[in-house]
Amino acid sequence: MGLRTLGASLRRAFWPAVSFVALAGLTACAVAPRLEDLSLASLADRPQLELTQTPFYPQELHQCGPAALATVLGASGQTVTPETLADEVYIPGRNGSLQVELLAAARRHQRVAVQLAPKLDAVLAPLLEQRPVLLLQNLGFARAPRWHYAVLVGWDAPANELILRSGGNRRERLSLTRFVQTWDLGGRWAVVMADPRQPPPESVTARDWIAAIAPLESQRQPDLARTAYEAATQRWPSETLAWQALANARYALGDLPGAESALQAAVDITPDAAALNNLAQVRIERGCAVAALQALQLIAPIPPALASTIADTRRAAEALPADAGCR
Amino acid sequence: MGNKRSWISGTVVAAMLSVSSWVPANAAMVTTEQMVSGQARDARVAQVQGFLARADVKQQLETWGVASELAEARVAQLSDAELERLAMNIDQQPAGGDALVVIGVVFLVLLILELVGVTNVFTTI
Repeated sequence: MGLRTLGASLRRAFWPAVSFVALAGLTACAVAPRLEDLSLASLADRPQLELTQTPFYPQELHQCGPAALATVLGASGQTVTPETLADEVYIPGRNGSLQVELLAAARRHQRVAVQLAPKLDAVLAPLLEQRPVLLLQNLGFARAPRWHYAVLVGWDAPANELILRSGGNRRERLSLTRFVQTWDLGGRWAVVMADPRQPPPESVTARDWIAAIAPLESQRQPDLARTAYEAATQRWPSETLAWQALANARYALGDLPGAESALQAAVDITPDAAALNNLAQVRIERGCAVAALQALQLIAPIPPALASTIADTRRAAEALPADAGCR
Repeated sequence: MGNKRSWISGTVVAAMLSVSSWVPANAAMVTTEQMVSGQARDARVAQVQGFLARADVKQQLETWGVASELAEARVAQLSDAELERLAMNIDQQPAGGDALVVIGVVFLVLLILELVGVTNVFTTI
């Protein structure tokens, strides 16, 4: 096909394409949110907010990952330079940084990155606690992405704009519509930094807090995980997952009675299969064969993913002498 | 790669089978990471896969130009669940870095407009 024929066929496709784009634009405008419409109560009291104390590290070429991470770590009280972080998160062959490596690098600097719910008000809420938000944007298109990390530091409701530390720009003012577009295309990923020794941020859910802490267990920091889970059981006492997580950290530290009491608290809330299995395992290790089997009998139905684990536990319980005393 | 990988898995499986005889205590606990990710599986299988994922991810980072000792430290910092997620689709994961793709996109748009006859940028040059 010659260039001329290609041109002709493109010309035929031009107006349909234009109308399609225009239509897409219209629908985007129709749902464009306004900051004033958000359910976040404090927006009415504080129509303008900006965390001016947040540090700023102008990004080197492609290095928005290290720069954005240094920004939020600095705001959380850990001063680390983007140069140091580049060795921990930058990938030359990809001209960028992976989300999971940002999470891992935060842990390296005594912080955990807690994921936020993929909703606009969830991303704004941490600013009220003086916590800037690290987020992923796609500045390109779905098919031709241009990934970018930036840090949300403020809002301006009358102007319907957000304020970000972004790339080489200390104070990027972005219309809410454009922000939502780029954040949407980036998969609505956003995190806040938190100190695992402090109470969890007001703006995070129990599950997201526990998910952020859990890697510390396999990172051989169960004592830090235990502290953070204890805080979780205080904040969310009726959350069974918090008690199960606390039990796992206590178990890793060799505290069998402590693990058992946390698991008992968990199954009192919900007779969860994983909690009952772990309760049985702890009882086996304490020599309580009968009590271990009792816990296993409460599992109904057995989730397929846990079938082999539960079968192992049952075998171990049955192998114990029934009259052995609990330790 | 395929050969190397099967060689590694063979060795690792053999090593893990011998190891599993002296780590029975852990085998039947469901970990917190499994609970939050909903990926509960046999603990021994998870250990073997975690080991393989570690080697895979480290090799991929080195291929992308991360120095070997840095790659080693970075992989050590990842939890088992994180490694596994990475090993599954590290190629497809977004790498935020403000790449210069947009220049290519602008060029493409200009070229299309030119071909369609809306603009005359290239003929005047």
